[in-house]
Amino acid sequence: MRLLEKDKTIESEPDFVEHISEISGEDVRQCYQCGKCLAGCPMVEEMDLTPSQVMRAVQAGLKDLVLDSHTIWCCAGCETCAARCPKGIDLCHVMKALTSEAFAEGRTQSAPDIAAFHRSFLDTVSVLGRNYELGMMGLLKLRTRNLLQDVALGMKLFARGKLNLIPEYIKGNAEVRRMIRQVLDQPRPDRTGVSPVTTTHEDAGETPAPPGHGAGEAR
Amino acid sequence: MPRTGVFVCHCGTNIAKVVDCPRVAEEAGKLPGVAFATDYTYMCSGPGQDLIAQAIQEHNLDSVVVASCSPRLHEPTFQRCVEGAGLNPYLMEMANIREQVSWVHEDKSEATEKAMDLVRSAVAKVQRNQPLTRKELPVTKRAVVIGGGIAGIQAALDIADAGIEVILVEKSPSIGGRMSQFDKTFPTLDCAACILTPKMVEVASNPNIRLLTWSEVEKVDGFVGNFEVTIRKKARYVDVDACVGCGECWAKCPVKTIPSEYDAELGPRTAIYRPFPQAVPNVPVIDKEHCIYLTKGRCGACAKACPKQCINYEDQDELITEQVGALVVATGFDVEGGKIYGEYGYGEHPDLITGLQLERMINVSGPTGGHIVRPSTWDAKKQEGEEPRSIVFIQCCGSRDPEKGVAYCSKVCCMYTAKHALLLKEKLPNAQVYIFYIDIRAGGKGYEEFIDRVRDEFQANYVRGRVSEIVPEGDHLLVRGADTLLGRQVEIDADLVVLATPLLARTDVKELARKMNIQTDKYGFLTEAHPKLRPAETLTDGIFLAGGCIFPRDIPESVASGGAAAAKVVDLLSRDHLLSEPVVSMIDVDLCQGCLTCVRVCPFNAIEEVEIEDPKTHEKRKVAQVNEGLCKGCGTCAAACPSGCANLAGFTDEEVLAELDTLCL
Repeated sequence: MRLLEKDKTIESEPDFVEHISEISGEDVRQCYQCGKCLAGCPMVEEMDLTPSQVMRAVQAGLKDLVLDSHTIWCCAGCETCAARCPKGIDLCHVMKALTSEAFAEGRTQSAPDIAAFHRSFLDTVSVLGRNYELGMMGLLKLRTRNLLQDVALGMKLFARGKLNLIPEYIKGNAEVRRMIRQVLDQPRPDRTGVSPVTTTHEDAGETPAPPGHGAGEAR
Repeated sequence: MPRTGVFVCHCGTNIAKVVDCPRVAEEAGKLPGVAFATDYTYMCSGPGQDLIAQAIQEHNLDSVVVASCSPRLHEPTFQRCVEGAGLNPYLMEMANIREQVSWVHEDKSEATEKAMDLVRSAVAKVQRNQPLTRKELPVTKRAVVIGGGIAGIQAALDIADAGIEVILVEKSPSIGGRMSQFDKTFPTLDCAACILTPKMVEVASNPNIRLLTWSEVEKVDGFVGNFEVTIRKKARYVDVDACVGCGECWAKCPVKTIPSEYDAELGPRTAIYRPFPQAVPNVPVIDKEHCIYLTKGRCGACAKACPKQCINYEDQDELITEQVGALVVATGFDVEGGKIYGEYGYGEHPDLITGLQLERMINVSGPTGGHIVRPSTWDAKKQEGEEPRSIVFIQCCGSRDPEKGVAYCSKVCCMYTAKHALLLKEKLPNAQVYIFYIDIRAGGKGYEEFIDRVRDEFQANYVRGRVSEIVPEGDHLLVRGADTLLGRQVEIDADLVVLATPLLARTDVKELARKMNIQTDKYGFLTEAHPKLRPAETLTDGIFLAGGCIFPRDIPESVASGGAAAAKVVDLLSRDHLLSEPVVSMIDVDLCQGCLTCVRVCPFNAIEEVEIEDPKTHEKRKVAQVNEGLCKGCGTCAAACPSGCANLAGFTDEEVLAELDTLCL
């Protein structure tokens, strides 16, 4: 199947639905498009495709349509849809599977700020073994080149003692870093059986950066 | 002086909240000839009916008016009530003060006035009513079932099992109908032949069933319990009793390329043919349009091959008449041939087929021996062809399209398309199957679960939207459609496209309906007496309906409706005699001028022309005569008769005018 868009044609990849079902642990084919997820989604104003359209596009194998959509990054993971889905599908799991696919392929252009947030969080935790809010905010502001955003909020939080100036390590921080690397480095399940790590980086048209250090999302 | 009783019903508060019932009763009591009048909360209840019966006895009433609801609801109730008290049931009239008064008016005093008017006019009529008696009609304890599909087979078997003789008339060479063409049945995937053919054999072996295949009903005369059915036994050119179905004849037939009706024209048949191996009777028929001997007078290959000398080229159509008490019409439906949408181009590309053609292709006894192939690549000699890798199903190819096709949903396509998708994926696991649909209608036991299974387990790709066009591109078909859930145009390269075409009323059923005087709807489907409460009956007593001639139906529904029609027939024919309805037309032959206006206007063909002889002058003249068995008492003839000699019993001019006089004078 091909999707005819205004400026391009998107070819469907028939195995995409199996792949996403496998890595998300949710059977996407089960979706019968009732729209209950869309009906209750609190983030829908921010989305280009509705949650039900994301499910439909995954069923139709329209990988390029979903992975380049803004919706997959907007999902707040609130689980409202999952709690209500009559087919018992957890859409948040599907959305996370799609963002990690997009992440690995470096396709973050539809929501670079959100991708930068994910990346900054991972970087912080890789080093300290736990979150360090001030450091993570710093990384995020550098990545998004928006140094003054949220400064007032930061002052408020600081005044109430919610932000620590000094980062704290945990004992097994090296262990946490190893775990994160392991996850990021492991070859993703792929339909062709070819190691996807290299191919995806080529797809993204970027120099492969070491995992855990940004894949070019902060332009 | 008449002694009329008037009984005013409150119907709880239905009538009483708008109409002052005690006052209506009081005023009615003052009318001339009214000997007793009262009101009561529920006149139709046990105590209410007792009240009427008691009053008839105590006050020696000779006629009764019940002022309550519509006679459509309770006329039989109150007729039984007065009959039980010793009155003729036709000396009871109803004044409808519910539907015609309390339900449609608000002003209490005006409504009460109107109720009193209606009571007054009913009293005037009932005092002129004549007692009418129902006549006993004889019953012929035999039945005809028209159509040997699954509905007709079920009806015939059920009637025969009740000990009643049945004549099963089938137009084609074998019984079995549409179901015999199917491979598997949804949603259980039972093999259609495995559940159908035992029933076909049962029909052939049941001593109470006379099977007339290759026969058509020519004429139906008479009325309930007493029909005379004329059946045309078409020339078969093969001796049904002697033939053993050995197959020597069709093996030798030189005409081998006639498109087979049984295989939905996907495969060939010979000129002398048996539609399918499990045919009942297992006897071939000669297609006289294509037989060389019958068209050109030479050949005779089949006659030479036949070891039992069963072939008779001189065979002629034969008309037989049968007396029966009831008929069941189970003539089934037609399947549209894919031509509704020119933009799909059916007929221009062999890889574009209908659902029925795919059904035959899937079947192991079908034209490809059960191989799923692209028809464009099929080599009949080698029995091989290329398997399709991408198959597109298009639902609603004319159904739910009031502009170009039919407005209704054909009901079975969602399910059979899902079944096809499943069977294809079983045979070709690597093929991609796409199904364009508008809505999936899977209302039935296990149906929705079946759709789920096809979508999830068998990975059919359901695409919501219609297809705009199908364009040949290279050696495949480019299907352009919409995915309305994404709001976008889509394209699919297909090797095989299957159309779910609508189920239609049979084109020849209109003619049959005219012969039997039963009704058809705007699509040509036969009309039930009541769509909900009398679904197996027609408005003509003694004629019943079953199966897909009423509307598209699946197998369970057809079987159920065959059983329902059979139950009605058995009920009717198990009576010793029938009671006629006495509200029928009466024609005074002394006054009749023989203009026959009534014959022309009668919607039930109940009036015929007869010749009578004057007993004194021996002069012969033509007059109109009513067949009371057919007359429905509509009164059209009474209104049309220029000499006033046609009158409707129970509604004579005198009675109706008395009613009007009280209202108008």
